[in-house]
Amino acid sequence: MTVKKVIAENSRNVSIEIEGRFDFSLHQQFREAYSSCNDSGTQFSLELSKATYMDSSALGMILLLKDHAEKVGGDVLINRPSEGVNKILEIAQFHRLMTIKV
Amino acid sequence: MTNLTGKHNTKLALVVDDSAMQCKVLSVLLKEEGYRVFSANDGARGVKMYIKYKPDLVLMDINMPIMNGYEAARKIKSLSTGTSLCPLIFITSMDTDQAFIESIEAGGDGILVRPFSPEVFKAKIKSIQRISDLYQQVKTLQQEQQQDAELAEKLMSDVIESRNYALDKIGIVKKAAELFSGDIQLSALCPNGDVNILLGDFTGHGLRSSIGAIPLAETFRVMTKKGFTLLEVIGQVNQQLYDLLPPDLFLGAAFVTISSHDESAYIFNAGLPDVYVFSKQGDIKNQIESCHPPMGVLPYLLPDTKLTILPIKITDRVILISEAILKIK
Repeated sequence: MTVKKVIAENSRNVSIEIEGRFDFSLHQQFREAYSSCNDSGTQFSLELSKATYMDSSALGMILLLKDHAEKVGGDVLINRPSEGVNKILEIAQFHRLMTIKV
Repeated sequence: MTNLTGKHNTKLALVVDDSAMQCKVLSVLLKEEGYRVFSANDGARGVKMYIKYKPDLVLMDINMPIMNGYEAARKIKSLSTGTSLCPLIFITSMDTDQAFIESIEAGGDGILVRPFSPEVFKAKIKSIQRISDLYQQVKTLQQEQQQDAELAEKLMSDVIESRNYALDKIGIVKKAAELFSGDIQLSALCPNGDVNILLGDFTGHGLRSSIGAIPLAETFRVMTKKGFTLLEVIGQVNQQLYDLLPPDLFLGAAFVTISSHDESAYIFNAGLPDVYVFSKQGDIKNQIESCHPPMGVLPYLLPDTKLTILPIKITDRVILISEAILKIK
């Protein structure tokens, strides 16, 4: 289980990828991945194609990321969630809160 | 406040070595590091002294009469399964791979091969003590967390759920993976005889997940009793949890009003798995999906929010399932 961060050269596109279980144990790592990205208008994309599991703590962590993105005038996009993870996002109706690209 | 490092207490060390001279040398070095020191001259006596004094550190020779170091180490490690890790270091002049491997297999936390300088010895003691202190910290935190979870559980069962209404008509199956899973179920009587029911699942577990439970229960009961509509109750619960909880804490919840006089169920699912209505024969009559983000995520309910209204018979069953059940399935 890992958190990978890629920042594009213009530093306004930050990609965070989760591999394996996305749960409370990633709390610290996940926050560190975005907390220093404060450029105005930063677009955060959260890659979840390799996430095998997600719990409600992870949903909470995504909401914190959304808060951070809104503070810097940016946005969050969830990219290609795996089937199991997408089910959780659907139950929580997160597509009503942010863009999810299936 | 708990002292996690225990630095103000003098630590106890036990030296087990059949050479009185070696005992003396190690004792002097340990005293310089602030330890009080006891010593034993064979393994069997070492085990006895371990039981009597419960030291914070054991230094163990390998070759000794009566009981050798490996055997004594195994006995000591089998006794020290409690809250503190008592680190055990073998002190030996046997500089072989075999001695090293056997030391670790016997439960040793390290090995120091003679000859070594006083500085190297003290450095080794410091490093091993650091690990032991960390272990102690983890244990202490674990105990505190356990107490928090027990408090949350007690709060939930004694204060909140004991005041539920119509307990004879609502069956509850609770199988939580942890002590307090963050699940809450509430029921209350409306002035017109209808019954309002809520099943909720707070994010996380333990005390952190239970902070919203008391205001939630109050709002749910008071508004139900005063005759507010279910949608009004839901709107208020959402806004209250939004105001009260940090952004990453929320409540997945299903709300149901069972109305016996107009034989209807009013159902709203915000962030829980599908709600089912079963007939008496066990057929699925309806399946109600989540249609709204969990309570406390948004400041207001989404504009298209509406309840699902279904005709039901007195023999039908409405089944609400919390996330926690899916987690442990």
